[in-house]
Amino acid sequence: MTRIIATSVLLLLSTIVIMLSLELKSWSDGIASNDVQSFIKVEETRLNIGLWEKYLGHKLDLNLVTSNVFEINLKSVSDKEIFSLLDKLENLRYARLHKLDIIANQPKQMFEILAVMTLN
Amino acid sequence: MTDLYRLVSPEKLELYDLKKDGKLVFCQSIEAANFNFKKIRHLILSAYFVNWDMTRIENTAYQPRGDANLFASKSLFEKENLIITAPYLNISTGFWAQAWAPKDKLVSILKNIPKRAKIYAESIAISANDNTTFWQSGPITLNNSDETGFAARHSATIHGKVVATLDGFNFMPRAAFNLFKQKKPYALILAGLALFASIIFAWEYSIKDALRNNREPAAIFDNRLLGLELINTIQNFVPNGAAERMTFDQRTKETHLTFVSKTKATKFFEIVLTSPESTGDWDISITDYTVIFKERGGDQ
Repeated sequence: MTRIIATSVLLLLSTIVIMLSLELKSWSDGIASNDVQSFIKVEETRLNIGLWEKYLGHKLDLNLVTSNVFEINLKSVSDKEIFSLLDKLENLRYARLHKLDIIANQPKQMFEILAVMTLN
Repeated sequence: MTDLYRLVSPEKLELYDLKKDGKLVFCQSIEAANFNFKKIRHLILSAYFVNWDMTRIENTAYQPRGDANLFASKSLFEKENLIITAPYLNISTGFWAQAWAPKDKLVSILKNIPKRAKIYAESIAISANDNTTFWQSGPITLNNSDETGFAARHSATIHGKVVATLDGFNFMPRAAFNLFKQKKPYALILAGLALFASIIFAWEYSIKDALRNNREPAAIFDNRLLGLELINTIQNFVPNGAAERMTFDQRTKETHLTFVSKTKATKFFEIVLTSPESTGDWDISITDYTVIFKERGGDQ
């Protein structure tokens, strides 16, 4: 009888542990999905060009300078886009913005943005 | 002094004092129905409950397993419904003896007996002082058998006295019943492993990351561009098409405004110099095409 109870308790505990783990993962993922910059916190995704393009809403080149320092180059930025991009770069939370260059292309009436950043 | 009980029948229990030399001294008869079996540490079962048999095996190297049923073919009960003692060898006679009892019959009577209680079959564990002494064990009359070294059933008419108790008899703790046979706890072990595996899974799947995020939260940086407000203030002084580059250096707290020509840079520099209210927190300098704004109190 004791064994049956002990076995049942262990199985119940296993089920609870797995369910709590799934719930914790789901909760963590929920928090991460609400944070549009969460990809910068994750080592595997912090240098993913696609995710950076999704966040900034513009095509870009990403150059790794050292293991921790990288440069983002946004070309052909219109004057309408520039304030939105500056706002997004200013609001970066998980990468430090060290230097930002805005270069005007007078003939094309376009801008190029160069941002040098470091990761935590 | 050790208390040893003898269960004669479902109604009758006897208490003996077991001496150190194995001698039994009868103390009293007890009504089994009213007795608390939890007190029992040593119990002898009479032939009312137990059947037994003996056999001589010539091969002296023969060593049966503890749970082997030597007389399975003679038992009317299925293996699952049987409680057996381990086979016991009387070395002096070379006879093996083993006792068995129906599980249902015993468990209902002995349901309260402690698990550590030792239970013996009378026919194997008891011997009289001589072969002429007969005793009543449940419905059967027994006496010693020199041939086997165990008790033998005596069915012929007995002219002598048949004693009812085991007073003065010898007790030898031979081959106890394993009434509470412990099954290997495979299910419990598996459940334990399942719990262990689930903890490992939970750790790897979510807890590790959650703990790491909690203990080492990601650093939050303030990336406000120090010179952006300044540029908003002075942009009216920059003629259309005159500036070609703007640099915000957060480390040196400098903002660089590069013009297409030195003339335009110089002209702009002179204008902003004469408007100190708009650039009050900034030191202004010029290098070729570039006007440099450095925040006061910033790094040198």
